[in-house]
Amino acid sequence: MSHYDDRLRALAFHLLGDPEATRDALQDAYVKAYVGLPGFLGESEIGTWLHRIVYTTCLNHLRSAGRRPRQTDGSPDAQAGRDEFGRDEAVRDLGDIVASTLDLAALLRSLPPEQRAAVILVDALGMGYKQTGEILGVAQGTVASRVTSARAKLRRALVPREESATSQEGTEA
Amino acid sequence: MRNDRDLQLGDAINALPVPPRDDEFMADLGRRLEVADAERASADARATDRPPRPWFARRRQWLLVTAAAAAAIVLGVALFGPGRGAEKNGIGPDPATAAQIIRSSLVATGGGRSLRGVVLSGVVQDGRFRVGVREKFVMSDDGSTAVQGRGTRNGGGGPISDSMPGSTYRAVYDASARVETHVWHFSKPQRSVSNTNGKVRHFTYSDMAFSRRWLAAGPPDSAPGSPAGIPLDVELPLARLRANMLQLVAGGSMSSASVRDVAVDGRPAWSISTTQLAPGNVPVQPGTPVTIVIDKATRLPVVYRWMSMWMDSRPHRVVLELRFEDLVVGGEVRPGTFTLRVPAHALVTPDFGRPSYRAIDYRDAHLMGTTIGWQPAFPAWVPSGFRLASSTYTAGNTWKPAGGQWQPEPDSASVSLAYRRGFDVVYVSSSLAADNVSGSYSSGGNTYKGHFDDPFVQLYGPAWRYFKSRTHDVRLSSGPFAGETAHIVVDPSVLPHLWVTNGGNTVTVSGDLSAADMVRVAESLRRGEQLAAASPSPSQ
Repeated sequence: MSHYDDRLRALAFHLLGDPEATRDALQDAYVKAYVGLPGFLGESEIGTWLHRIVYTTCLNHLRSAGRRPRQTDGSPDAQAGRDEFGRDEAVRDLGDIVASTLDLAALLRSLPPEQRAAVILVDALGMGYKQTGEILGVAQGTVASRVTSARAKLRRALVPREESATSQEGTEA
Repeated sequence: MRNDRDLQLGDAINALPVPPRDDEFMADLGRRLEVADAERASADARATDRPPRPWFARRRQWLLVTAAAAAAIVLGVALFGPGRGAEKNGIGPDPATAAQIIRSSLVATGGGRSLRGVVLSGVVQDGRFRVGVREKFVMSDDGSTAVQGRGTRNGGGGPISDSMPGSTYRAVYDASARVETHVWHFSKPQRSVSNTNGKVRHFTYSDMAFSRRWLAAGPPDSAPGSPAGIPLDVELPLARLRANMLQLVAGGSMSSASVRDVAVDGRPAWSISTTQLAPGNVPVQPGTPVTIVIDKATRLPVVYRWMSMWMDSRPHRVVLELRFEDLVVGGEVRPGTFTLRVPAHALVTPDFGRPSYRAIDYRDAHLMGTTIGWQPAFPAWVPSGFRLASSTYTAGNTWKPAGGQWQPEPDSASVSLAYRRGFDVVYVSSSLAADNVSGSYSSGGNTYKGHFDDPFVQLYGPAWRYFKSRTHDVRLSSGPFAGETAHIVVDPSVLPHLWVTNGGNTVTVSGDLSAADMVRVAESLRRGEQLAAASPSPSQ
């Protein structure tokens, strides 16, 4: 039997973007799974079922976090109204983001959670559209649409890096 | 459907850092699953109170119980693989060890936004429990508390307030406003006399009240007036019991504990007895161990018994007991629960002389030196999950026990912080050190002298020496108190705490954290640096 904790942790963290929230959401999800397992009818594979619980739990966390006043973290950047990368929130423009790992993370976080989940499940975790649809609770066509939209936005982070890498290789050669 | 660029994108996402599972994750999960078990058991217990059901319904219940046991195993294997994780961390229907039982009780009492119930407090004499006070209470996870009590025929001091036989009282603490209000109603009118400019007036009253505003974030800084001078949420018996239970499991002192099966009001329960609350502590007398009784079905505590030293006419040892009834976790808290109207005809006693604690914005805390004239130290680390809930300071006089009563100490000031994690709370206080604060207490023809170096303890002579024996000393290795000896006090009669002084400043760390974490908080103190709004990640 597969061990899902690492995959579920990645899904939760990319959806929530915060280690503490990830921890809370995973705990909530695992308790839900534990309580609900006796009633699990085996209509889907257990991994699909676990991913769906984590996904819906993360969405609930995002919704409840959206209702609460945003808590500042006390860092100098947060106090100055800057994001975690030191940029001014007011002038942040996705088109200006330079290619880097951090930028991919920032772009990923800028996606709507439904698109974020779709691209993580399909491209990062290698699931098919059918299984992803079961996890997200939507039709396969909707999954395809979300993945396509997400890929288009995320590639902004990858293209300059590819070009940069090509350019460097050319110089060295 | 996936081309090379899609695969490359997937690889790039997979290369993004994801925080690993921390050491406490599985332990916390185990505790939460134990609560889930307890809730299921509680539901089953309620179900058995109903009229007998047909065999097929009972069979379904059996199947569900069996399925629940299997669930832990299946889920543990699915999530973490065979031989790892769930089963090793206490996930299971029937915890057997004292530590597992205490942990499950901590989770059961901490799993909601509110906690309510009834507590009976009294003493054990000749093997019998004598109830002094019966109190209903409600507490929320922000620290707000409401208590309603009645003195019994035995009278005596209750855990919240002294209570005359037949008198009733209500007390509320609104944590958001930091206001505490008490109202007493006496069954017989009380007589009193006032003297204003030589004009003597006799009067009677049936209600008495007082309200305290601008309270400190937490002990030991607070108001004189209540028996312990600390806010209601700290003094609440269940809060104290939770703090002690946390010490037991965090400190690894359960090796001396014994577990017995008992019945309380016909309900199966575990009785856990131990002679040591924390490592390094002098064990209590074997004849009067600390005893906690926990309901097997709900995992809620029902009895807490311990020996302490009491001062009234003379210092003497006493066995104290708390009994909990009708505990409900996570129930609805009605609006207005934590506010209290003072009756118009009540005798209102003034809140005289106490310093006002002002709120500090944590972003400005590092600038406090210019406000209060000295630079307090703030923790750079608190245990995982805690967030700053209240930060207060006073530039005025603080009050210290001296000469048998509370007196203002000139040229002093203090900073008081409270970090919360649900019902768990950690207090950090920083103040100018007191110089030679000592006094005496006369009672029953005897005078007892005391030296009051522990900010939490106001006791004299033999009683003070008893608490001194509960102290475990540790030398700090970093921070502004590096090289100083920190004193850790863990005893059921006082909030678990650490205190340390360097002759110039005194710092205390107290509440729901282990002795080891008290030391870690104290060693993380930094002067002139920004106050942390939340606990750093466990790796820091």
